[in-house]
Parts: sequence; C-alpha cells; structure tokens
Amino acid sequence: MTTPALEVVAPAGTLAALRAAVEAGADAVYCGFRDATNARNFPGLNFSRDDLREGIAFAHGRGVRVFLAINTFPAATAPALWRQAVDDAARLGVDALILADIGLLDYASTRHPDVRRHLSVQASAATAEAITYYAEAFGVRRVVLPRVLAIPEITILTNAVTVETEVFAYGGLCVMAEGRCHLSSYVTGQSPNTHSVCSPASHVRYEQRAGRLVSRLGAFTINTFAPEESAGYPTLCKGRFKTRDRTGYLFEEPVSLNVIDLLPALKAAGVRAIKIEGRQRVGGPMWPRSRQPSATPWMPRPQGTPAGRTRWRT
Amino acid sequence: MIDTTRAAPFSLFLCAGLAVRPVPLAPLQGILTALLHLILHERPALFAPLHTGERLVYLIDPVDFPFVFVFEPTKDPPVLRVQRDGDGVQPSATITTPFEVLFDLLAGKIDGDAVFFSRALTIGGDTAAVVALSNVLDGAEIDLGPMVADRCGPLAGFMRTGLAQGEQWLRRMDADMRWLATNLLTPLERRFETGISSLADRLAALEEGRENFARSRHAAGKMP
Repeated sequence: MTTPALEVVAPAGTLAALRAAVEAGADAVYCGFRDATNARNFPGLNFSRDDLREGIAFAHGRGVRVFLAINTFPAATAPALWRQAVDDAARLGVDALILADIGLLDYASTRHPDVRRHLSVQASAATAEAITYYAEAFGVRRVVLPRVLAIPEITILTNAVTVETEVFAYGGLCVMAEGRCHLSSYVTGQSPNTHSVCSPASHVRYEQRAGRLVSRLGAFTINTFAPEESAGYPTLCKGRFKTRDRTGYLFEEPVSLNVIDLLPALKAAGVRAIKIEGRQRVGGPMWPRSRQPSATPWMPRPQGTPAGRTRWRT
Repeated sequence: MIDTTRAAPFSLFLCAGLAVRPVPLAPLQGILTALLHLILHERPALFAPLHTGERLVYLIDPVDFPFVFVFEPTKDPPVLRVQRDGDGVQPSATITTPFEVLFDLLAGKIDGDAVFFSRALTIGGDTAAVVALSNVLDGAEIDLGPMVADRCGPLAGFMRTGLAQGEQWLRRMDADMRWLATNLLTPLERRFETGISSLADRLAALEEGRENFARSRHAAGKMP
C-alpha cells in the first residue's frame, strides 16, 4: 500500500499571497479574517468577507482548498465576533475551519456539522488522549501538532490517533506551549491567544543609539544590532538578554524551522500535511516570484539539528 | 559626526536629485497627485485596512533625494505631498531609505521586511503604522508602468514598451554608476587598509618595546 503524498498547506495574509500560493502549487491555503478571531491579526493584513469570497473562488477554480483560522480564544464579553466568523466562513464556503477554543468547536460542530474542522496548533494538543477527545467530542478531522515536537513524538502521535496530523514545516519556532504563552501579555498587555498578535508592532520601537540599532518591546530592550548586522523583530522569547552569567538568546535562538531534509521521515510517520508558517510574511517565503529578494535575512541557512528537527538561522 | 543612517549611495537618483533640486515643487506635486489618483482609481479600497480611526501621517525621506514625501492614507481622499524637508510635519512614523529602495518597494520587487532587517531602510515612530503600510503595499501588486501606459489609449502598447525599456536603461545606468563608484573608491580603501595595518604593526612594536623595557628595569631591580 502506498502512503498518500504530503499535502502542502500554505499561508496567505493577503489576496495577492493567496493567488501566489495557489499558482505556486499549494494543495490548500489558510488565512484569517481581519479581526481578533485569528492569531495573526497584524496591521494591514488579512481578509475581509469580500476578500475571502474572492479568494475562495480563485482557489476553487484551480482545485485548491481554503482553510480559515479562527484560532484565538473568544472574549467572554464579546463571543458574537467569533461565532459570526464561524457562520460567515461556513456561508462563504471554506473547506475547513481551524479552531482552538472548545466552545467554538462545539458551536461549529453543532451549527455547521458539514464544515470540516481542524484543530489549531493554538490548542496545543500533544497527547493521543487530548487529540482523541477533540475528535470524538467535536468531530475534528485533522490536528495541527505543536511545533516543538520531534520526529519520534510525531510518529507516535500520528500512529495513535485516527485523525489526520499536520505539522509545521517552515517558519518561526515557538518554544512555548502554543495558546498558553503569556510572555507577550506580561510585557505589552496583549497576547496571541486573546488579542491575536504576539509582541504587537504597536508596542515595538526601533531606536538608533551610539551607532547601534536598538529594538524595544514595551519597556524592555529586546536586542541591539551592530551597524552591519542583520536586525530582527523584537519577539520577546527571541531576545538577546544579559544575566549575571552570560549574554545571549536565553529563551531560544532566533531560528526558523525547515524540515526539508525530514520530509521522507514525516511521510513515513504518516503525517498527512505540512504547513508553512508566515501569514504575516506577505512577500511569501517560498513563491517563485520576481519579487523574491536575493538576500532575505530569514531565508534558510544551515544551523544544526537540535530536537530531532532541522533548524535554520533566520 | 556623519549620520551613517543618512549616508546615500552614489546612484543615479543622487545625481538626479541634485539636478532637480532647483525645480519648483508644483510640477512634482502635480505628477505625484496624478499617480496617486491613478492608483486609487485602479484600487479604490487599497488603503481601507489602514482606516482604523487613527490619523496616520508618514514622513518618507529618500536619503539620496533632496525632497521628502508626506503621505496621509487615512484622509478622504488620501494625500501625498512633496516638500523640501520635514519641517512642520508631525509624523506618526518616518521611513528613511534610498530612493531606489522606495521605488522597488512600491513596485513589489523587494520585500519590505527583508529590506528593513538588512538595514537598508530605517524607521522611526509608530512601528505598527509602518508595518500596516508595508503590508498594504506589499499585497497590492502595484505596477505603475502598465498602469500609466494603459491610460494612453491607442499609444498604450508603445508606452508599455517605452516605459519598460526606459526602466531597463535607468537601472543599467544606475548599475554603471555604482560600478564606477566602487572602482574609484577601491584603491582608496586599499590605501586606508594598508595604512591602518601599518599603524597597527607600529603600535604593536611600540607596545612590545615598552614591555621589554619594563621587564629589563624590573630585572635590574630598578622597579618594585
């Protein structure tokens, strides 16, 4: 028996990115509404209802599916925004909803049982029992596994559950339990879980000090860069900090994940789909377009293979 | 002290900027307004994602051009002004970069994040405002050449070809100028490097001599 080919699920922060992903050969594209319901609500990005309608028509016309991420956790004071998002996505004909909150999963499975449900990485489901519960309780058909899992863990989980698994194959790493990290909240009052953005740009400042570029998040200096050094976005967990013992990346190195060498292992593990991170990267990290820069700082360069996954410096 | 963030590359735009410095602002303003109207005609909802209730004012400062641009996308209709400097402007955010980078960003030929992280562009003020504008422009796929050509009626095809060839010619000329600048500066850089290396050697020799002298005096019991 031959195992099915790995499905490529590509990000789209804009209609232009969706079109580029479709034309580049993605099997499915995922996107989000331009509001607090998706965990990548960066300014100037994401889809209006009209955009989504247009994007779905374009993708379906070329045999490509569209998934919609509604993967933040509804506010107790305003759950209607999230429910409306589910209703609108179903009405517009998305191929799957990517959900994290159990209340919203319940709402979607009750109101729109025919719309396929995927479990977002934001739900941080990392055991067979948790995944099975989501499948049995809410009819979840696919689960996006946490980014920090190693190949042996992915293999065990995939073999232990009856639903499809999807793993991140390219993009920023998140060492925390997704959906449960409060670092960004601690510094800025806003988190990806409830405010749709980690280390929000509204709290970011870049300053020039003594010839160095200083990146700050809220009241904290996250990094400083020498004149010729490539800079980075001040995501708190990827900052360079000074303690009594040493100076360096104390939480995690600012590296990106790239599993290109591990694709056979992922396929052998029974993984159904690989997901490319980057709805906030409008230019698209992988599309063969004329706009692709020749020296993009976050393009992959070899860095080593910790935790059983290939990682690349950004 | 030289402000290195404002160091302009020796480029065609730098020379063109010097040439147009005496030109009155009115004709430039006319061209800019016409281009903005053209873009808005093609993409009426282009700046809708920026309309969050907050007034945004961008001061765009090409380091190799003697003018600055003030852009207010949240006005109805959006406004793009050219000024000789940023005096009197209270910007939400500033964007400073060579003109060519601005040109390529607008045309979608390069990625805004990549340019910023590679340090070819600096920003100040409200980072969220810059991110929002970058995201909007990056997803817009604005190609000004064909847009202008398509407004030329029966001459559209001729204009398309002419503009494309003109751009190619400008880029080739710009590349030639950079090549010239590199070749003029390389011998100077080598002389500096040689001079610095020679100074470093002499400093090391002096340091070694001083240490030897101190040791010999110590050995002779003349120092504690």
